Amino acid sequence: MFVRYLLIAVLLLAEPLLVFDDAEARTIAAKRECSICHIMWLDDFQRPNVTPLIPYDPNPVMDSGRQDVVSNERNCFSCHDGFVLDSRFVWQNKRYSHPIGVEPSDKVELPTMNEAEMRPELNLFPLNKDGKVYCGTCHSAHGVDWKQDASPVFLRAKNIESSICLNCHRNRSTGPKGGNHPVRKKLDSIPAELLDKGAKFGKDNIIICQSCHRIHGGRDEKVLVASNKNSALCGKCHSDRYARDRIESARMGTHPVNIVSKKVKIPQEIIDRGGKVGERGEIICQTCHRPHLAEKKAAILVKRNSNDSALCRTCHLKEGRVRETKHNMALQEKESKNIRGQKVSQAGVCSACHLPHSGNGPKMWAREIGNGPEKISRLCLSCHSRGKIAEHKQVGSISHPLGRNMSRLGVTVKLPGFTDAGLKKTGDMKGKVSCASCHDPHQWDPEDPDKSSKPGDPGNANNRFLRMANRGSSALCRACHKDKAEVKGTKHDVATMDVPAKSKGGAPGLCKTCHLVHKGKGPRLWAKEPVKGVDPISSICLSCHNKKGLGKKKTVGEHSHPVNAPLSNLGIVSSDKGWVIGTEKKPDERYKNRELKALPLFDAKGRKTARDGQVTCASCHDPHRWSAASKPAKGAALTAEGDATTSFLRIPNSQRAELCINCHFDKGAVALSKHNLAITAPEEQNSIGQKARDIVVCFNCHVPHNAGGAKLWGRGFGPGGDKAESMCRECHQDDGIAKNKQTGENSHPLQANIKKAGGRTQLPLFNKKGERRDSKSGGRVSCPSCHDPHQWDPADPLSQAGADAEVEGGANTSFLRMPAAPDGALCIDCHRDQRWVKGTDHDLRVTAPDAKNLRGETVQESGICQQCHMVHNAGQALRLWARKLGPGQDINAQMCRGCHDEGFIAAQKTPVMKNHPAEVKAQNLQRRARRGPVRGFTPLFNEEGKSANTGVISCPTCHNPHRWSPVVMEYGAGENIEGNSRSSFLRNRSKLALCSNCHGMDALFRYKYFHGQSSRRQHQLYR
Amino acid sequence: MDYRNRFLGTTLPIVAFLLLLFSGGGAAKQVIPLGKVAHLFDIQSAPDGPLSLPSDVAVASDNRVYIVDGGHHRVLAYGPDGEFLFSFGKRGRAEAEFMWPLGIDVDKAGLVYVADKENHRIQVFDRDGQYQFGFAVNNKDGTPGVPIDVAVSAKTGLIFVTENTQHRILVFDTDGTKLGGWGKQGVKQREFRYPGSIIVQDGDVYIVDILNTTIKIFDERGQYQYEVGEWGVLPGQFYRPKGVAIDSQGSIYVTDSYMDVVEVFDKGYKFTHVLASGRQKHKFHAPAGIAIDGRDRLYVAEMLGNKVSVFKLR
Repeated sequence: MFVRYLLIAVLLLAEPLLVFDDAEARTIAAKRECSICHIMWLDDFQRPNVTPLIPYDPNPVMDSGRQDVVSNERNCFSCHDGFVLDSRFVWQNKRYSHPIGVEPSDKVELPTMNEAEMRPELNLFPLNKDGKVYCGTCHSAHGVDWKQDASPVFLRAKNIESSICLNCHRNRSTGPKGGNHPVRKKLDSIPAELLDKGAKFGKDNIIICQSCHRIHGGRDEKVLVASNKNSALCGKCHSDRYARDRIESARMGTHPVNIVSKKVKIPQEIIDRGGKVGERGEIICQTCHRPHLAEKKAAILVKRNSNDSALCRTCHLKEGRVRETKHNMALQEKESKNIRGQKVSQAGVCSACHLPHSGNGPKMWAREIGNGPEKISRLCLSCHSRGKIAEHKQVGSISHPLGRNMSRLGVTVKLPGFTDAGLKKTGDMKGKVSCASCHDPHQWDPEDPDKSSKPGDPGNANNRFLRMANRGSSALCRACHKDKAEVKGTKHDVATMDVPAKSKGGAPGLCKTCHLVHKGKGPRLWAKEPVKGVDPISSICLSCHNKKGLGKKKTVGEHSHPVNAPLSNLGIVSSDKGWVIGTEKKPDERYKNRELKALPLFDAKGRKTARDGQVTCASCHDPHRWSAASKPAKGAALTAEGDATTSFLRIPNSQRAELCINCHFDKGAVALSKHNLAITAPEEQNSIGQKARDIVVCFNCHVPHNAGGAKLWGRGFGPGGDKAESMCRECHQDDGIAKNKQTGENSHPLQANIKKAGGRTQLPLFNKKGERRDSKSGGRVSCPSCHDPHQWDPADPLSQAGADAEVEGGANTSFLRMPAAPDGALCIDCHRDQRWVKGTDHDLRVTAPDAKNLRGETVQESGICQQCHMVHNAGQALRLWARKLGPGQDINAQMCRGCHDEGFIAAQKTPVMKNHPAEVKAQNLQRRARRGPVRGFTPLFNEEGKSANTGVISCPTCHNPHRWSPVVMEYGAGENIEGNSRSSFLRNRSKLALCSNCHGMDALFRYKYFHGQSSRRQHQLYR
Repeated sequence: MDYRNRFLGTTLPIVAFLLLLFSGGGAAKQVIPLGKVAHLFDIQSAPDGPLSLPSDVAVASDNRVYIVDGGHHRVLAYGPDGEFLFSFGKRGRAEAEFMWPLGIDVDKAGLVYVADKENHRIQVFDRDGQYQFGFAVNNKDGTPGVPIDVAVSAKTGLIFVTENTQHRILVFDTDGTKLGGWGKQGVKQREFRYPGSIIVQDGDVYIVDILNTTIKIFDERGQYQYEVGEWGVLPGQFYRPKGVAIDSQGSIYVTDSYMDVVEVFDKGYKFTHVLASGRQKHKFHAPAGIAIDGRDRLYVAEMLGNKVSVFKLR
């Protein structure tokens, strides 16, 4: 102890000598500078009487093994934590840093110092004391002066454009030929996102190791600069090849990644060769590509894909069969080149048609894309077109439609459709029809997929790259057209017929007998020459159903149901939503509860169309189904005669005529009326000998085919001025079944021109043939102008009141088209000039509601017109007069005085002088006007009471009994009012009046004396 | 250095040291003085995950705690008892975005100042994290500076920033206008080797001079006052000092991010003890920024611990 105190005293004495000036004191000793890192060099660790804050341990055991404390990462972090230098990114993503604490694998070669230091026994990159990689393997603060651009972080070797990496990883810099991703290859542009994540590129944008790898602070395994989940990092540079789903794949023409294929299972061989899949088994870039240490000359693929496309076929096993078929370009067209200018011998069998990257649109097509309505079909047509390598195998101008939505089939099918993007869709009705819906271009024979075919080999319905064999029962066709399968065993199954067509070309199959999928001859891919002159659909029916055709026993005759006719004629609007009675925007309220089944309609090219389609044979007939109600027993349909419930009809036509009234919806009420002969004359036969009780109600009078005339008339013709009248009078005649319902001698004129009555009407007019026409086209009045033979009561079509042969009709029923009572709407529709009688004194509802006509009807029962006029069985031919005649010197006066005389209903309106002097006859100049009678015309009447140029003056000469006032066109007031010179049913006021012509100024006084109340008031002038 | 000085400065102490070493074999080993504190809780996570390399912490007068979550390029705000409040900022270079932020301070008004290191700027936010303004940290030659930490004087409102490319202390007015600064690289009193954390307390500016391993104290005009601690691994010495804070008694707390300790000096700048929990010195995990609130709670940002540990000093 003494010695110690002595030494301390010596030191204290020497203290003045130990005091340095400030500058000297602030000089940092070199040893201290070393200790900034080499902490264990501090002497305090060796002093026995002090306790350092940390223990002395120059070679601690770290996570990376035993090593000098100076290269302990905590030592590094104590400066590189941002406060001195900033390498926080290293620790931020420490998980993704260059591995330490591991022994170098056999894939790396540690260089020795033989070149630089001439000390071959030493590694240039030393390992720690456990022989493992540690921080100091790459980093050292000693002995290097690489400048900032070559080594900013104390690296043991220069690092110019990742050169330090290649010291150990030399075998990863060999480029694609050596099985590695290219390095030192120039990029056109660098993705900014990569730079942002810390990627580095060499001069002129060349790729270096650090373009993909970030030794410290990486973000994924393999110290990648960014996450490579699902090959996202690859996609940063190879964005043109990074299709993240099938849609992008189809658009970009590149192999899809990031998808889990249900069809293709990644074989173990791929995995064994270093291929990888995503977390959920997705195909990723690295499934096919191995960026490092891939097989040599494999272009960094996991397996060489030489001219036999071995890699492609490793996964695409089924498609690989194409090699043995005529679709192998090596067999078909060796010299043909893909869009890369490669022959099949260079590209390989698969890449002759598909390029895994940079293809043309869907399916990574390796050839020029052809023209077509649908993307996948265009691929096929790129060869199967004129001037192309498969021009001898074209589909013709009439071929199975392409691009149609599979949803039109209404059912899911096994065959695939394809989306607009070119994606295959199976079983979900979402795709569109494509060539590849029926054809699998990779296999020749669906029943023997391994079967080979060579150019020139004949094909048949069982091979030809079809997805299913199609001979016999046409299974392929029926896969989609399931609703057509019922044709089998029917009369339309030509295979069951003993006809030459059956044997022609062998047994072509159920469908192909009538339809050719390619190179068809007419609409619906028709296999025969269609008949010209009718609509496309009917033309194909008539190609058999003609006098010489296969269906010669079933022709339709001269008068058949119209085809190529629009539904709008019937008051039906068709659209995708169905059929509507009325207009699309305003359905007919009367039929609001009526649902019509939308039958197929067709456009001018024979394509089904809902809107504005035309009726054709196929609207009523489904040629593939004998009976809509039920399947016939096998073979029965071949011999059985069809009836209204079978006969390939789309809707069974029972007695209530469901099929007929689906279109002729306003005719169905006939079944409820006495015109239903099953009710009134059940034994009556139509023209083809069918009894009314056995047949559809419509067929009593109409037959859809082989009819006798217009209206598809199915009965004989009675007398008549036109066919329409003749049809009615077939029954309504003395020998007819409706002989009790005839019109009598005095009946409404027929074949009359509507112009004479008023000029226009909404009622139908008919020509001589009984066809409906307007008046300009020869349409004239006929029985069905006023009568609708299909409904008893126009106000209540469903009324069954008329379903009795004995029931008597009235002015509101009687099969009238519209009610005639009480307003006389039916009559006035033609006789428009007479409509003003409503509400006048001559409307007997106003003046004599209890008066009755000859038929004993009051005005309420008969309507206002038929109180004076009877349409049928009238009392007088003249004006079809319906009342008793009164006294008078001429028939017209008698008609008027049938009311306007003593004892009659208008006795109070009787002139003092009831007749104009009979000896006066006049010539009526007005009637001879060139354009008909002038306004205010005052007619004269001949002895028959008809208007004539010369004749007597009668009541109607001055009076128009249908119009109260000559001045104002209006209905009457609805009450009995006194008239004057401006009313009183006068034909005009006076200017051109016949009275003044003869009587001059005295005319008025004479009139007043002889007429009206003025005379009865005993006017002073005449008192 | 002449021969005399070399003898006196080198040879003599070595001889004396060796004599002392061999003569004192029986002397008792010094014990590290420990000061026990109560660990309250740790702030380890935000709702979206754990903290990443938290480098500094600041406490407002209302005891709201702001932590620089550097690895996530954001600032996290917690309540007085460590409950998460909100975060602000994300990686980026736009306003209210950060690139590797490092230091933080809160002024008496509650404004939050963040040293947005790789964006070479200071950004200022209100107490709720809404961006207020920012200003660039440039060197005298106009090159972008690298701000390490920021501190605001409660007395003058001046903003002090440590910048470590030119090893200077920069002074800004309250609106971010640069007023001047002092320092350069070196070992003398007004020189620094990587100035790190900075605080201003009662008109004195405390700067952690990292590689000079001392806490240098200046007045707000930049006049050198004193320095605390020295190079070494013994109690009262520093190897990698990073953070500094002062409690209500005037004691100075300094973190050492390599030795993983917090050393305490009294207001007379004399070393007193090392923080301890139990009978051992408390082992931190790369402690850096440090703060003490008005309740004498100590907040230590442990960068490799990815947490801020909170202690009750008294």
